[in-house]
Amino acid sequence: MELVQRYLQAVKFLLPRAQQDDIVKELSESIRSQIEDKEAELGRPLNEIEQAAILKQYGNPLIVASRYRQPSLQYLIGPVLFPLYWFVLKTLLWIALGVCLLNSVALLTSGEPLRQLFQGVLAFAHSALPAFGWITLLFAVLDFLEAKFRLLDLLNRRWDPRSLPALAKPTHVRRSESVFGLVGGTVYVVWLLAVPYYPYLIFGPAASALRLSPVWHQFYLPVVVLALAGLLQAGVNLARPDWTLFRAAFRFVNNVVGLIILHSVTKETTHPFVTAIADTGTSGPHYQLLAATVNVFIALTLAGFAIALSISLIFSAWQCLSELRRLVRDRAATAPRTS
Amino acid sequence: MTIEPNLFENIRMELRRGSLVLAVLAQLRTEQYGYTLRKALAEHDMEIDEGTLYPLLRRLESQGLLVSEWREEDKRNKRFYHLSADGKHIFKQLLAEWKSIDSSLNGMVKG
Repeated sequence: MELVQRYLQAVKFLLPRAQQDDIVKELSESIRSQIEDKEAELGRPLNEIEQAAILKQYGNPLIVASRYRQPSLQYLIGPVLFPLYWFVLKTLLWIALGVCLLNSVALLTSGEPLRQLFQGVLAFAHSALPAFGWITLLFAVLDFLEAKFRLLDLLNRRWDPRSLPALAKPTHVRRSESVFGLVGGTVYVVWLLAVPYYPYLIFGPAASALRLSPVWHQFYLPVVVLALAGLLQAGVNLARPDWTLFRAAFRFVNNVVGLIILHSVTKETTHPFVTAIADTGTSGPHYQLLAATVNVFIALTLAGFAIALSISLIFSAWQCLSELRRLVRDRAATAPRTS
Repeated sequence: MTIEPNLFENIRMELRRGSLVLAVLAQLRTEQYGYTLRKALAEHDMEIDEGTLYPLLRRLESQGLLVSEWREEDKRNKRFYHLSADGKHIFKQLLAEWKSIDSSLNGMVKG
Protein backbone atom coordinates (compact mmCIF):
# COMPACT_ATOMS: atom_id res chain seq x y z
CA MET A 1 0.00 0.00 0.00
CA GLU A 2 3.04 2.28 0.02
CA LEU A 3 2.39 3.23 -3.58
CA VAL A 4 -1.15 4.34 -2.66
CA GLN A 5 0.20 6.43 0.21
CA ARG A 6 2.74 8.05 -2.09
CA TYR A 7 -0.04 8.80 -4.54
CA LEU A 8 -2.25 10.36 -1.85
CA GLN A 9 0.69 12.38 -0.57
CA ALA A 10 1.33 13.77 -4.05
CA VAL A 11 -2.36 14.68 -4.57
CA LYS A 12 -2.59 16.25 -1.11
CA PHE A 13 0.35 18.57 -1.78
CA LEU A 14 -1.56 20.12 -4.70
CA LEU A 15 -4.96 20.51 -3.04
CA PRO A 16 -6.35 23.65 -1.38
CA ARG A 17 -5.13 23.50 2.23
CA ALA A 18 -8.58 23.77 3.82
CA GLN A 19 -9.88 20.72 1.92
CA GLN A 20 -6.74 18.58 1.81
CA ASP A 21 -7.58 16.13 4.59
CA ASP A 22 -11.22 15.72 3.64
CA ILE A 23 -10.55 15.05 -0.04
CA VAL A 24 -7.62 12.73 0.59
CA LYS A 25 -9.65 10.74 3.15
CA GLU A 26 -12.41 10.16 0.61
CA LEU A 27 -9.98 9.40 -2.21
CA SER A 28 -8.11 6.98 0.04
CA GLU A 29 -11.32 5.17 0.94
CA SER A 30 -12.29 4.84 -2.72
CA ILE A 31 -8.88 3.51 -3.82
CA ARG A 32 -8.77 1.01 -0.97
CA SER A 33 -12.29 -0.22 -1.75
CA GLN A 34 -11.31 -0.72 -5.38
CA ILE A 35 -8.14 -2.57 -4.42
CA GLU A 36 -10.05 -4.80 -1.98
CA ASP A 37 -12.63 -5.65 -4.62
CA LYS A 38 -9.91 -6.58 -7.07
CA GLU A 39 -8.08 -8.62 -4.43
CA ALA A 40 -11.29 -10.48 -3.59
CA GLU A 41 -11.79 -11.20 -7.28
CA LEU A 42 -8.24 -12.52 -7.75
CA GLY A 43 -8.01 -14.21 -4.34
CA ARG A 44 -4.60 -12.68 -3.61
CA PRO A 45 -3.05 -9.30 -2.75
CA LEU A 46 -2.35 -6.98 -5.69
CA ASN A 47 1.21 -6.52 -6.77
CA GLU A 48 2.76 -3.11 -7.45
CA ILE A 49 1.99 -3.18 -11.17
CA GLU A 50 -1.71 -3.92 -10.51
CA GLN A 51 -1.88 -1.16 -7.88
CA ALA A 52 -0.22 1.21 -10.33
CA ALA A 53 -2.83 0.29 -12.94
CA ILE A 54 -5.62 1.33 -10.54
CA LEU A 55 -3.87 4.60 -9.71
CA LYS A 56 -3.37 5.22 -13.40
CA GLN A 57 -7.18 5.17 -13.79
CA TYR A 58 -7.43 7.96 -11.22
CA GLY A 59 -4.86 9.98 -13.16
CA ASN A 60 -1.83 12.14 -12.59
CA PRO A 61 -1.99 13.96 -9.22
CA LEU A 62 -1.72 17.33 -11.00
CA ILE A 63 -4.86 16.62 -13.01
CA VAL A 64 -6.80 15.01 -10.15
CA ALA A 65 -6.09 17.96 -7.84
CA SER A 66 -6.97 20.50 -10.55
CA ARG A 67 -10.49 19.08 -10.81
CA TYR A 68 -11.16 20.06 -7.21
CA ARG A 69 -10.46 23.69 -7.94
CA GLN A 70 -13.29 25.87 -9.21
CA PRO A 71 -12.45 26.71 -12.79
CA SER A 72 -12.78 30.31 -13.92
CA LEU A 73 -13.64 31.38 -17.42
CA GLN A 74 -10.40 33.23 -18.06
CA TYR A 75 -7.15 32.96 -16.22
CA LEU A 76 -3.51 33.78 -16.57
CA ILE A 77 -2.35 30.67 -14.72
CA GLY A 78 -4.78 27.77 -14.81
CA PRO A 79 -5.80 25.43 -11.96
CA VAL A 80 -3.30 22.76 -13.05
CA LEU A 81 -0.18 24.88 -12.71
CA PHE A 82 -1.49 27.19 -10.00
CA PRO A 83 -0.44 25.06 -6.97
CA LEU A 84 3.16 24.91 -8.25
CA TYR A 85 3.16 28.63 -9.06
CA TRP A 86 1.83 29.50 -5.62
CA PHE A 87 4.38 27.24 -3.91
CA VAL A 88 7.32 28.86 -5.78
CA LEU A 89 5.99 32.34 -5.05
CA LYS A 90 5.51 31.70 -1.33
CA THR A 91 8.94 30.10 -0.98
CA LEU A 92 10.58 33.06 -2.71
CA LEU A 93 8.65 35.50 -0.52
CA TRP A 94 9.83 33.92 2.72
CA ILE A 95 13.45 33.64 1.61
CA ALA A 96 13.51 37.25 0.39
CA LEU A 97 11.81 38.47 3.58
CA GLY A 98 14.28 36.54 5.77
CA VAL A 99 17.30 37.96 3.94
CA CYS A 100 15.83 41.47 4.11
CA LEU A 101 15.11 41.23 7.85
CA LEU A 102 18.57 39.85 8.60
CA ASN A 103 20.10 42.67 6.64
CA SER A 104 18.02 45.27 8.51
CA VAL A 105 18.85 43.73 11.91
CA ALA A 106 22.55 43.63 11.03
CA LEU A 107 22.46 47.31 10.02
CA LEU A 108 20.57 48.32 13.18
CA THR A 109 22.89 46.44 15.54
CA SER A 110 25.93 47.95 13.88
CA GLY A 111 24.69 51.40 14.86
CA GLU A 112 22.93 52.48 11.69
CA PRO A 113 19.87 54.74 12.24
CA LEU A 114 16.33 53.33 12.41
CA ARG A 115 15.48 54.62 8.96
CA GLN A 116 17.76 51.90 7.58
CA LEU A 117 15.03 49.45 8.58
CA PHE A 118 12.48 51.24 6.40
CA GLN A 119 14.98 51.47 3.59
CA GLY A 120 15.49 47.73 3.94
CA VAL A 121 11.74 47.14 3.58
CA LEU A 122 11.67 49.40 0.52
CA ALA A 123 14.63 47.53 -0.94
CA PHE A 124 12.66 44.31 -0.43
CA ALA A 125 9.74 45.68 -2.46
CA HIS A 126 12.14 46.85 -5.17
CA SER A 127 13.83 43.47 -5.51
CA ALA A 128 10.93 41.11 -4.74
CA LEU A 129 8.23 42.59 -6.95
CA PRO A 130 10.13 42.25 -10.24
CA ALA A 131 11.06 38.69 -9.23
CA PHE A 132 7.37 37.89 -8.61
CA GLY A 133 6.56 39.45 -11.97
CA TRP A 134 9.09 37.28 -13.81
CA ILE A 135 7.86 34.13 -12.09
CA THR A 136 4.25 34.99 -12.94
CA LEU A 137 5.24 35.60 -16.55
CA LEU A 138 7.15 32.31 -16.68
CA PHE A 139 4.17 30.33 -15.38
CA ALA A 140 1.76 32.21 -17.68
CA VAL A 141 3.90 31.20 -20.67
CA LEU A 142 4.02 27.62 -19.39
CA ASP A 143 0.24 27.62 -19.03
CA PHE A 144 -0.19 29.00 -22.54
CA LEU A 145 2.13 26.32 -23.96
CA GLU A 146 0.29 23.66 -21.99
CA ALA A 147 -3.05 24.75 -23.44
CA LYS A 148 -1.64 25.12 -26.95
CA PHE A 149 0.20 21.81 -27.18
CA ARG A 150 -1.81 19.80 -24.60
CA LEU A 151 1.36 19.07 -22.68
CA LEU A 152 -0.54 17.68 -19.70
CA ASP A 153 -2.33 15.08 -21.81
CA LEU A 154 1.08 14.00 -23.04
CA LEU A 155 2.43 14.01 -19.50
CA ASN A 156 -0.53 11.99 -18.26
CA ARG A 157 -0.06 9.34 -20.93
CA ARG A 158 3.61 8.94 -20.09
CA TRP A 159 3.14 9.24 -16.34
CA ASP A 160 3.96 6.12 -14.31
CA PRO A 161 2.68 6.00 -10.70
CA ARG A 162 5.90 4.25 -9.68
CA SER A 163 7.83 7.43 -10.43
CA LEU A 164 6.12 9.18 -7.50
CA PRO A 165 8.46 10.62 -4.85
CA ALA A 166 9.12 8.56 -1.71
CA LEU A 167 6.95 9.12 1.36
CA ALA A 168 7.84 12.24 3.34
CA LYS A 169 9.90 11.65 6.45
CA PRO A 170 7.79 11.17 9.59
CA THR A 171 7.21 14.33 11.59
CA HIS A 172 9.18 13.02 14.54
CA VAL A 173 12.65 13.87 15.75
CA ARG A 174 14.69 10.75 15.08
CA ARG A 175 16.10 9.12 18.18
CA SER A 176 19.48 8.74 16.48
CA GLU A 177 19.55 12.52 15.98
CA SER A 178 18.79 13.16 19.68
CA VAL A 179 21.34 10.56 20.83
CA PHE A 180 23.97 12.08 18.53
CA GLY A 181 23.06 15.54 19.90
CA LEU A 182 23.47 14.30 23.48
CA VAL A 183 26.79 12.55 22.88
CA GLY A 184 28.26 15.29 20.66
CA GLY A 185 26.91 18.01 22.98
CA THR A 186 28.43 16.36 26.06
CA VAL A 187 31.85 16.11 24.39
CA TYR A 188 31.54 19.78 23.36
CA VAL A 189 30.57 20.93 26.89
CA VAL A 190 33.41 18.92 28.49
CA TRP A 191 35.83 20.40 25.95
CA LEU A 192 34.53 23.93 26.66
CA LEU A 193 34.90 23.45 30.42
CA ALA A 194 38.40 22.01 30.09
CA VAL A 195 39.80 24.62 27.67
CA PRO A 196 40.60 27.30 30.33
CA TYR A 197 42.69 24.76 32.25
CA TYR A 198 44.25 22.94 29.30
CA PRO A 199 45.04 25.44 26.48
CA TYR A 200 46.56 22.50 24.58
CA LEU A 201 42.98 21.52 23.70
CA ILE A 202 42.59 24.62 21.58
CA PHE A 203 46.15 25.50 20.45
CA GLY A 204 47.74 22.06 20.29
CA PRO A 205 51.57 22.20 20.33
CA ALA A 206 51.42 26.03 20.15
CA ALA A 207 49.78 26.19 23.59
CA SER A 208 53.06 27.21 25.20
CA ALA A 209 53.29 30.28 22.96
CA LEU A 210 49.70 31.47 22.43
CA ARG A 211 46.85 32.38 24.71
CA LEU A 212 43.27 33.60 24.26
CA SER A 213 42.90 37.34 24.61
CA PRO A 214 40.61 38.70 27.40
CA VAL A 215 37.89 39.50 24.83
CA TRP A 216 36.78 35.88 25.03
CA HIS A 217 36.21 35.89 28.79
CA GLN A 218 32.97 37.86 28.66
CA PHE A 219 31.53 35.47 26.02
CA TYR A 220 32.69 32.25 27.62
CA LEU A 221 29.70 31.86 29.93
CA PRO A 222 27.01 32.56 27.27
CA VAL A 223 28.68 29.99 24.96
CA VAL A 224 28.69 27.37 27.74
CA VAL A 225 25.03 28.13 28.55
CA LEU A 226 24.14 27.78 24.85
CA ALA A 227 25.92 24.41 24.69
CA LEU A 228 24.11 23.22 27.83
CA ALA A 229 20.78 24.36 26.35
CA GLY A 230 21.57 22.27 23.27
CA LEU A 231 22.05 19.24 25.51
CA LEU A 232 18.72 19.94 27.20
CA GLN A 233 16.97 20.16 23.81
CA ALA A 234 18.44 16.84 22.68
CA GLY A 235 17.39 15.24 25.99
CA VAL A 236 13.86 16.63 25.77
CA ASN A 237 13.47 15.43 22.16
CA LEU A 238 14.81 12.02 23.07
CA ALA A 239 11.96 11.71 25.60
CA ARG A 240 9.41 13.48 23.37
CA PRO A 241 10.26 12.86 19.69
CA ASP A 242 6.88 14.34 18.70
CA TRP A 243 7.87 17.81 19.99
CA THR A 244 9.11 18.97 16.60
CA LEU A 245 7.92 22.54 17.16
CA PHE A 246 10.06 22.66 20.32
CA ARG A 247 13.14 21.65 18.30
CA ALA A 248 12.40 24.20 15.57
CA ALA A 249 11.78 27.00 18.11
CA PHE A 250 14.94 26.06 20.02
CA ARG A 251 17.03 26.17 16.86
CA PHE A 252 15.61 29.56 15.98
CA VAL A 253 16.40 31.03 19.44
CA ASN A 254 19.79 29.27 19.40
CA ASN A 255 20.65 30.86 16.06
CA VAL A 256 19.55 34.33 17.19
CA VAL A 257 21.60 34.10 20.42
CA GLY A 258 24.56 32.68 18.47
CA LEU A 259 24.44 35.59 16.02
CA ILE A 260 24.23 38.13 18.87
CA ILE A 261 27.29 36.56 20.56
CA LEU A 262 29.16 36.47 17.27
CA HIS A 263 28.27 40.06 16.53
CA SER A 264 29.49 41.15 19.99
CA VAL A 265 32.76 39.24 19.54
CA THR A 266 33.51 40.71 16.14
CA LYS A 267 32.62 44.24 17.33
CA GLU A 268 35.77 44.08 19.47
CA THR A 269 37.88 44.54 16.36
CA THR A 270 40.54 46.58 18.12
CA HIS A 271 41.59 43.54 20.13
CA PRO A 272 43.17 40.40 18.68
CA PHE A 273 41.51 37.03 19.33
CA VAL A 274 44.77 35.43 20.49
CA THR A 275 48.06 36.89 21.65
CA ALA A 276 51.59 35.51 21.81
CA ILE A 277 52.95 34.93 25.31
CA ALA A 278 55.64 37.60 25.87
CA ASP A 279 58.32 35.31 27.35
CA THR A 280 59.06 33.06 24.42
CA GLY A 281 62.80 33.63 24.14
CA THR A 282 64.43 33.64 20.73
CA SER A 283 61.26 32.32 19.06
CA GLY A 284 59.38 35.56 19.95
CA PRO A 285 59.03 36.98 16.40
CA HIS A 286 58.06 33.58 15.09
CA TYR A 287 55.20 33.30 17.61
CA GLN A 288 54.09 36.90 16.94
CA LEU A 289 53.71 35.90 13.29
CA LEU A 290 51.89 32.72 14.33
CA ALA A 291 49.49 34.74 16.52
CA ALA A 292 48.78 37.14 13.63
CA THR A 293 48.11 34.22 11.28
CA VAL A 294 45.80 32.55 13.80
CA ASN A 295 43.94 35.86 14.26
CA VAL A 296 43.31 36.12 10.53
CA PHE A 297 42.19 32.49 10.45
CA ILE A 298 39.79 33.04 13.38
CA ALA A 299 38.37 36.20 11.77
CA LEU A 300 37.69 34.31 8.54
CA THR A 301 36.20 31.36 10.43
CA LEU A 302 33.87 33.68 12.39
CA ALA A 303 32.75 35.36 9.14
CA GLY A 304 31.96 31.95 7.64
CA PHE A 305 30.20 30.95 10.84
CA ALA A 306 28.08 34.14 10.72
CA ILE A 307 26.97 33.34 7.16
CA ALA A 308 26.14 29.73 8.14
CA LEU A 309 24.20 30.91 11.21
CA SER A 310 22.25 33.45 9.12
CA ILE A 311 21.23 30.77 6.62
CA SER A 312 20.35 28.45 9.48
CA LEU A 313 18.28 31.26 11.06
CA ILE A 314 16.18 31.65 7.90
CA PHE A 315 15.76 27.89 7.65
CA SER A 316 14.79 27.53 11.33
CA ALA A 317 12.29 30.41 11.02
CA TRP A 318 10.77 28.60 8.03
CA GLN A 319 10.65 25.36 10.03
CA CYS A 320 8.95 27.13 12.94
CA LEU A 321 6.28 28.52 10.64
CA SER A 322 5.76 25.12 8.98
CA GLU A 323 5.46 23.39 12.34
CA LEU A 324 3.01 26.01 13.60
CA ARG A 325 0.92 25.65 10.45
CA ARG A 326 0.93 21.87 10.82
CA LEU A 327 -0.10 22.17 14.46
CA VAL A 328 -3.01 24.46 13.59
CA ARG A 329 -4.06 22.15 10.75
CA ASP A 330 -3.87 19.03 12.94
CA ARG A 331 -5.95 20.71 15.63
CA ALA A 332 -8.53 21.81 13.08
CA ALA A 333 -8.65 18.26 11.67
CA THR A 334 -9.18 16.67 15.08
CA ALA A 335 -11.74 19.26 16.21
CA PRO A 336 -15.34 17.95 16.12
CA ARG A 337 -17.06 18.80 12.85
CA THR A 338 -20.17 20.92 13.11
CA SER A 339 -21.58 20.11 9.67
CA MET B 1 -11.92 18.91 -45.04
CA THR B 2 -10.77 16.21 -42.61
CA ILE B 3 -12.31 15.89 -39.20
CA GLU B 4 -10.30 15.52 -35.98
CA PRO B 5 -9.61 11.87 -35.15
CA ASN B 6 -11.16 12.16 -31.68
CA LEU B 7 -14.06 14.37 -32.65
CA PHE B 8 -16.80 11.79 -32.07
CA GLU B 9 -15.28 10.81 -28.71
CA ASN B 10 -14.98 14.45 -27.63
CA ILE B 11 -18.57 15.27 -28.55
CA ARG B 12 -19.82 12.05 -26.95
CA MET B 13 -17.99 12.95 -23.71
CA GLU B 14 -19.46 16.44 -23.83
CA LEU B 15 -22.95 15.00 -24.32
CA ARG B 16 -22.56 12.56 -21.46
CA ARG B 17 -21.04 15.16 -19.11
CA GLY B 18 -24.32 17.04 -18.88
CA SER B 19 -26.27 13.82 -18.38
CA LEU B 20 -23.92 12.68 -15.62
CA VAL B 21 -25.21 15.28 -13.19
CA LEU B 22 -28.71 13.98 -13.77
CA ALA B 23 -27.56 10.38 -13.39
CA VAL B 24 -25.73 11.14 -10.13
CA LEU B 25 -28.75 12.97 -8.72
CA ALA B 26 -31.02 10.08 -9.77
CA GLN B 27 -28.81 7.53 -8.00
CA LEU B 28 -28.52 9.62 -4.87
CA ARG B 29 -32.24 9.57 -4.17
CA THR B 30 -31.04 6.70 -2.00
CA GLU B 31 -27.99 7.22 0.17
CA GLN B 32 -24.65 5.92 -1.16
CA TYR B 33 -20.94 6.52 -0.80
CA GLY B 34 -18.60 7.36 -3.67
CA TYR B 35 -17.36 3.92 -4.56
CA THR B 36 -20.77 2.18 -4.59
CA LEU B 37 -22.23 5.13 -6.49
CA ARG B 38 -19.61 4.75 -9.21
CA LYS B 39 -20.33 1.02 -9.45
CA ALA B 40 -24.08 1.62 -9.60
CA LEU B 41 -23.60 4.15 -12.40
CA ALA B 42 -21.35 1.72 -14.29
CA GLU B 43 -24.02 -1.00 -13.98
CA HIS B 44 -26.41 1.37 -15.75
CA ASP B 45 -23.83 1.96 -18.50
CA MET B 46 -22.96 5.40 -17.15
CA GLU B 47 -19.22 4.95 -16.64
CA ILE B 48 -17.56 7.81 -14.79
CA ASP B 49 -13.96 7.93 -13.64
CA GLU B 50 -13.12 8.66 -10.03
CA GLY B 51 -11.23 11.81 -10.90
CA THR B 52 -14.48 13.26 -12.26
CA LEU B 53 -16.99 11.79 -9.82
CA TYR B 54 -15.54 13.03 -6.53
CA PRO B 55 -15.03 16.65 -7.60
CA LEU B 56 -18.56 16.54 -9.08
CA LEU B 57 -20.00 15.30 -5.77
CA ARG B 58 -18.13 18.05 -3.94
CA ARG B 59 -19.44 20.69 -6.34
CA LEU B 60 -23.05 19.45 -6.08
CA GLU B 61 -22.73 19.51 -2.30
CA SER B 62 -21.34 23.05 -2.29
CA GLN B 63 -24.29 24.05 -4.51
CA GLY B 64 -26.64 22.67 -1.88
CA LEU B 65 -28.04 19.80 -3.98
CA LEU B 66 -26.42 17.07 -1.89
CA VAL B 67 -25.73 16.53 1.77
CA SER B 68 -23.04 14.25 3.05
CA GLU B 69 -21.83 12.78 6.30
CA TRP B 70 -18.89 10.65 7.38
CA ARG B 71 -20.05 7.38 8.94
CA GLU B 72 -18.44 4.10 9.85
CA GLU B 73 -19.44 1.05 7.84
CA ASP B 74 -17.59 -2.29 7.85
CA LYS B 75 -15.08 -0.78 10.30
CA ARG B 76 -14.18 1.95 7.78
CA ASN B 77 -15.10 5.61 7.63
CA LYS B 78 -17.04 6.43 4.51
CA ARG B 79 -18.65 9.57 3.23
CA PHE B 80 -22.32 8.99 2.43
CA TYR B 81 -24.18 11.29 0.07
CA HIS B 82 -27.89 11.81 -0.57
CA LEU B 83 -30.15 14.41 -2.17
CA SER B 84 -31.02 17.47 -0.10
CA ALA B 85 -34.55 18.90 -0.16
CA ASP B 86 -33.41 21.46 -2.75
CA GLY B 87 -31.66 18.66 -4.63
CA LYS B 88 -34.91 16.69 -4.89
CA HIS B 89 -36.71 19.74 -6.22
CA ILE B 90 -34.02 20.56 -8.80
CA PHE B 91 -33.82 16.89 -9.81
CA LYS B 92 -37.55 16.87 -10.63
CA GLN B 93 -37.14 19.98 -12.75
CA LEU B 94 -34.07 18.62 -14.54
CA LEU B 95 -35.79 15.31 -15.20
CA ALA B 96 -38.76 17.13 -16.77
CA GLU B 97 -36.29 19.13 -18.89
CA TRP B 98 -34.52 15.94 -19.93
CA LYS B 99 -37.79 14.32 -21.00
CA SER B 100 -38.69 17.44 -22.95
CA ILE B 101 -35.31 17.42 -24.77
CA ASP B 102 -35.71 13.70 -25.45
CA SER B 103 -39.19 14.22 -26.85
CA SER B 104 -38.07 17.19 -29.00
CA LEU B 105 -35.12 15.30 -30.36
CA ASN B 106 -37.23 12.25 -31.13
CA GLY B 107 -39.67 14.49 -32.95
CA MET B 108 -36.87 16.01 -35.01
CA VAL B 109 -35.26 12.67 -35.87
CA LYS B 110 -38.58 11.10 -36.85
CA GLY B 111 -39.65 14.20 -38.77
